[in-house]
Amino acid sequence: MLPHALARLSSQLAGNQLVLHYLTERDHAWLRALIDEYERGVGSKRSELFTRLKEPLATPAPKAKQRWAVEVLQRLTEGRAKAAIPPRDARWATFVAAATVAAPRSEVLKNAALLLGTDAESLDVALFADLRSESTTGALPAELSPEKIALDANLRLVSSWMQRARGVRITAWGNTRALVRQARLHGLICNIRRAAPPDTASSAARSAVASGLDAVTESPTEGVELEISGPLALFRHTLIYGRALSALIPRALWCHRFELRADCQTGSASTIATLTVRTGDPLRVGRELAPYDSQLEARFAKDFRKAAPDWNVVREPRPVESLGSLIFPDFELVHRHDPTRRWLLEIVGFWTPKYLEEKLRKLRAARLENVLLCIDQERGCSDAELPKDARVIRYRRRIDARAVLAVL
Amino acid sequence: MKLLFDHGTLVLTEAPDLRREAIPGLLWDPRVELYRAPAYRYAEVVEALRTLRLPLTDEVERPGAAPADEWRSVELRPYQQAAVLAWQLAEKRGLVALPTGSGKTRVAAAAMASTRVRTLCLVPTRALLNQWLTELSRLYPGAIGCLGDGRQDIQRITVATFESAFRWMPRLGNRFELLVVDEAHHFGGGVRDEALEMCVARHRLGLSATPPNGHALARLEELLGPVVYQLGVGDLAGTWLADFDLVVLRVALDHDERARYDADHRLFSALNRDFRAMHPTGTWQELVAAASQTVDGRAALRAWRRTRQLVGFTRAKAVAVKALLARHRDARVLVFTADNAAAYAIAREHLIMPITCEIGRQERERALQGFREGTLRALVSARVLNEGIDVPEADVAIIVGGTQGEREHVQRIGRLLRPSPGKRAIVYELVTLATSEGRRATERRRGLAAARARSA
Repeated sequence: MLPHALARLSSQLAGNQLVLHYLTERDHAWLRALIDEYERGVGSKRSELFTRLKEPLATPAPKAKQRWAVEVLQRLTEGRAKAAIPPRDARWATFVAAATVAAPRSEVLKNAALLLGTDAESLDVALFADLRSESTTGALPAELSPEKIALDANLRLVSSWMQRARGVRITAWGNTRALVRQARLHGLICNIRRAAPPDTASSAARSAVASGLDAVTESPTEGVELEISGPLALFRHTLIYGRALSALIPRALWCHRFELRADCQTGSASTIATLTVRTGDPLRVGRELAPYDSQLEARFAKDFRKAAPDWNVVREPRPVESLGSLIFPDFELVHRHDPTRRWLLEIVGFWTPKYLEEKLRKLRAARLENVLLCIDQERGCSDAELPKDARVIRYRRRIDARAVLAVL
Repeated sequence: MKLLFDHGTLVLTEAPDLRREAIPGLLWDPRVELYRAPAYRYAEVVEALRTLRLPLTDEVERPGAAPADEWRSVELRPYQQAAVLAWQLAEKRGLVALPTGSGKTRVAAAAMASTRVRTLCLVPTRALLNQWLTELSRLYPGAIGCLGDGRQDIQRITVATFESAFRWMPRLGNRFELLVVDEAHHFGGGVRDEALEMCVARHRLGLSATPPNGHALARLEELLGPVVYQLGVGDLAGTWLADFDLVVLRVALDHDERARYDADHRLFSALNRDFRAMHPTGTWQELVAAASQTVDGRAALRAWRRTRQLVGFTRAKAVAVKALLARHRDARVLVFTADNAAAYAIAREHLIMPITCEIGRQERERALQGFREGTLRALVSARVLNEGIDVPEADVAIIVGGTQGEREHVQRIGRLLRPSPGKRAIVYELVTLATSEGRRATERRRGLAAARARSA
């Protein structure tokens, strides 16, 4: 994240569109100069070095972009300084000594240093070594390059604007499940529709390479359109969902292809502009997301594969369209030798009979009969009877793969 | 028809067409095709629905037992008793305005003890979070929950920082029946107000030494209730609060500082003059927004920031701080600065403990304890000590610089007013001559002077 003032400096309003001035290859030369200047300042006071880094560099840089890159460099190098004595111990010993005896500064430091088994100079250095604004500059992480700073800075710029988003519309193809989950996890209202297929296969391939996803072999097929906003957004312009909306970006970057449009507050509450982020934008793609949403799911997949070697476990089955919305089942179980034998499996955490009834109603409307619900015995919030026609397996902490197999 | 809590709002399911009914806050939400209302209007919505005689199942409040443990007897001073009574008479909704050091936490504890319902207390900082936990645990023997500073433990009585409440309220907003808000003047301006909007608690108590006015007060009244009881410093100084002397020390810029100040001040004055000519009634925010659009404007704003930084801690102020710390060597001294850089400079030079946002909780607690016991003789801080922190032993304050105006000034002086036998506090205010600080210093003393004059 960037301070909003910096994000504004690196952005521009074009009508009602918010245009971000990303750091690109053209900026690498001055970013290299910035890194060199940083390395010359290793060992000096961080606050002084970072003030200096904002001054003109050996290679000229656009002023706003330079300030933004300096801010990012500051974040990327935090907490690397070390002191000979733990600074907290140094402070306590020194300030107590100063309160005890009225003596000149050098004398106090000398006495406190004796207590800590060090010398006055080291003690003086250690006093504020752990405080962000007072610490000394540590060495750069070895892997830091102009490219990495640029991609990281761009991602932070987008995230900063997303923090000021009120609502988001995303169209995404392939690997969309994590995106949908993320939206629902944060209690956002997420309206989902099926999206038209992407324009052409070639454009999809091009965008996958551009975003660093070329290792992903799965072809982008299934698409969804998401409209995401928070409950309170009905009543007032609120930025309370900014954090949750911002958390969608790393998920979107792992989709095969996506386009995100966010309505962001640019100034006062009434000034709104649209930010567009899409596949191919120069953003840092984070760590690959875990293949399972929970330990429970991971354990079930492992147990079931072991217990039922004749069945395939499909982690992310096609979403099911029903009553105007999409359902994302957790697993699809498909028989290896008879692919017509297919079951959808849904794991339900918190539940009420009403919720299960509604879920079954939607599945029935989609003409799906082979559906199995695994419900958490401990987290149910009602003792009332379950719907009569539900095929349910109750579990406590672990889903019994054999019990599932017995139903199929 | 069911009324449910949904992530900080209320939703009405299986409802008839209510679009023509005047139900406070209720709107049709086309995204989910349900009626929705903000959570803080819970009581009004229920009352309006009941008036319509519509069958209603209210499933908003999460079932939970009231605090099981008995509160210990909360002893109150006469004005504290009056404050609690006033709040009770206002249907347990309202703002109590009492000066710093007058025991607002105790008023809150008494309100909680008399109400005996599940309560969430909101405090602005991590330092105050710990102070409230300590204070409440003296009066309430049961478990006290904590949200903030890395802890996430929810109990029938829970204390949370504003920031944690802001994040958690969509999930916790229906668990508490009483909401206590310390330093309530932070709300009402739009920032973080959602923390109060997303809670269904019918009973609300706001506490502040410096309630806002105008639009912010109106908004605060909507979220917490009206001001039900108010006393100023002058009403209690010399009786329930320690009396104090305010000494203003005027210092000058040296030759080099004056040259830098004048150059930067000229840059900013030109911008300000041009803006005022175009927008005579423009606000500071509007000026900043307009200036940010141009290169010259941004340069002028940077110049303004440099002048603030310069006058915040000048060489003459450094000399004055040294002299005052030497003069009050045996006193318990609080030093207030405009920013962390000045706080660290003073801490480094005079070897006194800084209390800033960069100092961790345990170290801060140890330092405050050391200050109370006399192991440490002075503390220096830019913001953290401004509000709420209980340091009754402090008897001298040196205000080196400030950025937040009248409210900050009153709060800072309040740190010294917790009474002890024979105590008379001294506040030194360092003001740089012939700079914008002189005018600001006059303004920030105005509120304090008004309060003192009122009781005289």
